[in-house]
Amino acid sequence: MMKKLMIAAAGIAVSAGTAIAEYPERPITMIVAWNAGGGTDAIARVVAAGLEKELGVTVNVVNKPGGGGVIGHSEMLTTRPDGYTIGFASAEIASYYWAGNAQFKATDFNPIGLVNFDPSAFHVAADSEWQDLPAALEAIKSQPAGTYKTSGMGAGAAYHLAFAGLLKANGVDPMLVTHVPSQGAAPGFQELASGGVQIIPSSLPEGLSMMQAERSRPIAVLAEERLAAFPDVPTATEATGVEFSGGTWRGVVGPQGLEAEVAEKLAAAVQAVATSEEFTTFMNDKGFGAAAYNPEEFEAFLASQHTSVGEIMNDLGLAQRQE
Amino acid sequence: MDAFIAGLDLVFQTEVILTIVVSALFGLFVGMIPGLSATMAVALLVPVTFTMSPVAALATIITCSAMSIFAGDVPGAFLRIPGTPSSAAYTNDMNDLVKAGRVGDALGMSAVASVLGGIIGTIALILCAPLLADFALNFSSFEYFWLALLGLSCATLVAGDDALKGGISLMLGLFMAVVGLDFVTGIQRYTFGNMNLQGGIGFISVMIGAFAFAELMRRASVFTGQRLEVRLDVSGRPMPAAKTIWQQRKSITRGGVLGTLIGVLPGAGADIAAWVAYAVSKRFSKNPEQFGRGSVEGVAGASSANNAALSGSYVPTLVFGIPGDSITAIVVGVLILKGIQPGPLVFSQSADMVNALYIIFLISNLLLVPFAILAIYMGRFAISLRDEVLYPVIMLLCMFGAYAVSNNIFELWIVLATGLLVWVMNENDYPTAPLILGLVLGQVVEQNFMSSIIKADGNMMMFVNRPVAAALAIITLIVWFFPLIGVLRRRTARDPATDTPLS
Amino acid sequence: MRLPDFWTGLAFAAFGLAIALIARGFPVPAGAASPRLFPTIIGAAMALMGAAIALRGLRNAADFTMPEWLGKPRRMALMAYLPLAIVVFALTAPTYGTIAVAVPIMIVHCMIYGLKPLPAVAMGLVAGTAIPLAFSELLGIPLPYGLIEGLL
Repeated sequence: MMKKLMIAAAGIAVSAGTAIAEYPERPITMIVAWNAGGGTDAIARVVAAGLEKELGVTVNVVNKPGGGGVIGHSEMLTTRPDGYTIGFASAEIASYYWAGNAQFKATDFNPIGLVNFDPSAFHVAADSEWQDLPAALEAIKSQPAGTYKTSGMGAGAAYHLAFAGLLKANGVDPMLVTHVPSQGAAPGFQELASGGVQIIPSSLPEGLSMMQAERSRPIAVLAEERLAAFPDVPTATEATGVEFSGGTWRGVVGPQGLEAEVAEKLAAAVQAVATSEEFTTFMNDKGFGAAAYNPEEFEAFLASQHTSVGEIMNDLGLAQRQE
Repeated sequence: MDAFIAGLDLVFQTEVILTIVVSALFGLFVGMIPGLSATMAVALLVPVTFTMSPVAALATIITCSAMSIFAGDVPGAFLRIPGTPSSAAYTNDMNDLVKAGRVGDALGMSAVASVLGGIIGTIALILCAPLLADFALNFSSFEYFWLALLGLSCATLVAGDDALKGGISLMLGLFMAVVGLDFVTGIQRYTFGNMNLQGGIGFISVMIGAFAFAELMRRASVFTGQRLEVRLDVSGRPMPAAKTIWQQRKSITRGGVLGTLIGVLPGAGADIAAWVAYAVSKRFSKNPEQFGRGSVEGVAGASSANNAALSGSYVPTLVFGIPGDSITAIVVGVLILKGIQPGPLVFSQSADMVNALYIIFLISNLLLVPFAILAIYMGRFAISLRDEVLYPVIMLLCMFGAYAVSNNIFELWIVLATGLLVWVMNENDYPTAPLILGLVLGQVVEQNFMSSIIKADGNMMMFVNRPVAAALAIITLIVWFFPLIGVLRRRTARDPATDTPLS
Repeated sequence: MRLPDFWTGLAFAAFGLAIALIARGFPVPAGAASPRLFPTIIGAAMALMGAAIALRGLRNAADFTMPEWLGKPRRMALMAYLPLAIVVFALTAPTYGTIAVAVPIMIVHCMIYGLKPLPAVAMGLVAGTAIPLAFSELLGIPLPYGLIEGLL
């Protein structure tokens, strides 16, 4: 309270004195479009703590859940572009436009820095007859549509799209596999264990408990290289010879129209946090994949996500728009 | 045994004991505010737990949730406004008991039953976690569909006297549950282009509207301005007589066991447990006519169940990392952040932690008794305030509570709309309880039905060809059609000339 | 507000019908389970039950009883004030801040209840600042501060 009062007082004094003060001079708000206690919220809070150190002002995480994440994400775009309200966006922003849930596109966001990429994996039940990815793909191709089913996420979620992308890249029609929507990975793994579905395309850490319980088994990870925590799980590229990676991601974004100086300062701070040992240790410990894309890389990534997500959602019949 | 002593060591530290007391007070405070649920109390604490030791973090969450589930009963008893959704099932009973001057039988009984239910759940957690988890893991969407349908049949038990009006109320709740993005296809239903409705109608805001706002409207409509010397006789003892507790032993045990089992099932938590236990208590009761009008039995059964469900929900959480309810969903996140991977290995790798968790459960449940007495006195103080001070304060709390649901002003519009609707409905004898039940279970029914249909490729036989699914299906059908047969039999037995239509 | 069953039943029947009719318009993507099914069942059931209530109440359709609160100015003022307070709060709090709006809402509410101006203002100031502060400082809810942003 006292600290806030002093910062506010200092803020008034500074803004009254000089027109252009050194950014940042007062607390920054970081919007998270999901509830407190979830994965995105957890990473956002660690990033916020890092940014506080880099920028020297308080960074408050504000949860704006609702509307399947649309509300919070759209607020990140419509907020005043003064650099004092930024957002922590998740992979869902690439699909809202195509699903017809929002007017904004992934490319509308001002990319500041991507800090996390979690590759999707190919989990099967412990007693599944598939020992490797080619065998699974062969079986999916040769059996009638709907024989095999996936679950573990809502229809059109990032992992679902990554899985469909994997099939497509390997010349298998993604419509051959039926997706059974579920709320989160946990109920999906439960379906896997009870025999309702055959494949869960969630990340490796999400399946760790079930692997330990010897209920499930991963046969591939959709990453560019094997994960340090799971050295025995081959990448999809290794297994099939067809290059493919996919999954979910999170990053710091802002509204359009940020001053160049402010955007640069934020981007530098995010880079510093994303490459800091504290952050990478946290991410590795908790099973998240650390990443550090600068604004240019992030922008190119958003553009490619926008087109590839649009394509695959149209293939799956989940899109309400073509283009 | 070594692990147990190591667990004791972990718990009996100044930091942990202090956090237990502070989070108990916090849970009491949040739970008593209409609309703020136990889940929200826990979510609010998550950022605080980041800096704590793992045991202190768990102690915070467990104590806070146990306390707020009980505290939700306090405004329900004194004001007929339940503080948390899991108290909604028996609010009328509590309020009627308090009006009759039986505070001890209402809140005291609820506290005692909460403690005993919580302990039953904890013992189940300690003794048969792996066994129960295996049982829960065999549940797929088919079983959940039947179970949710069975839950909906509780509506007939909480509907009151007019089955048709109860049915309308239930349908309204089910309708509210389908608003938003469709689970399977992602298309928008009944959102009329409003972004705020895409995520569905917030359950907590509906609660605030349907109970708090509608109740304020009702009180305004009968306000006389006369100052009653004693509004309610709250001079009775805060705790029930030992004899009364003994009389309720069956109800409490039944509630505890039911609550544990429902808590163990992933996705079904304290809210559903309270409703089901209330309905089951009514079914087994010798005095079913008292239910909804001040039944000690109903209060005992349901409040035992909602605290038992809290402990039960840790079973799948610990064994498989699959959260049993919305609170343990947060717990899984916190555990992983603390470097503890829930799963079968947790029992061998972090045995001291698991034992510490058991001990915290027992402590937080026992702590309920002194804190409950404190809450009862706080409630007495609040009820002794004058109308012109008390109701405006409640009104403000409702508005802020609704905003806090998602930090979004839109929640207030939901409070207003449902509040006015429910007020008019109540004035015309349409009950509120089925609406809440429909909203709680609507998505569970539809999502599991849709998932099942997709899995079964349209083959309806799949719904009944698994043993547990078949058993649940038979029970559901019996429960649904048994009352119908009963009604028909009574109808034919009665003399048609003196038969008055139900109204 | 006691209305004849005939009219409330009819209103719900119409509402149920509307639910079911709107459901017919939802797109059904190929292969997936239909998003129309549940709303149609719910709407139809509500329409049927509403119609049954209306039929049952047909005999007493004209039995309007005037509500007791009609003609009692304080009760009517209170009943009008409750929804009004929410509307005012929802529309103005984001701009002017929650404390600036909560204080007058509290004061007026107390006064309609018959509290004298001085105690009402005192109550308004105490509750109108204590409750928002408890939510923002104790619970960490990001309430809009509005007018007094600079002070906190």
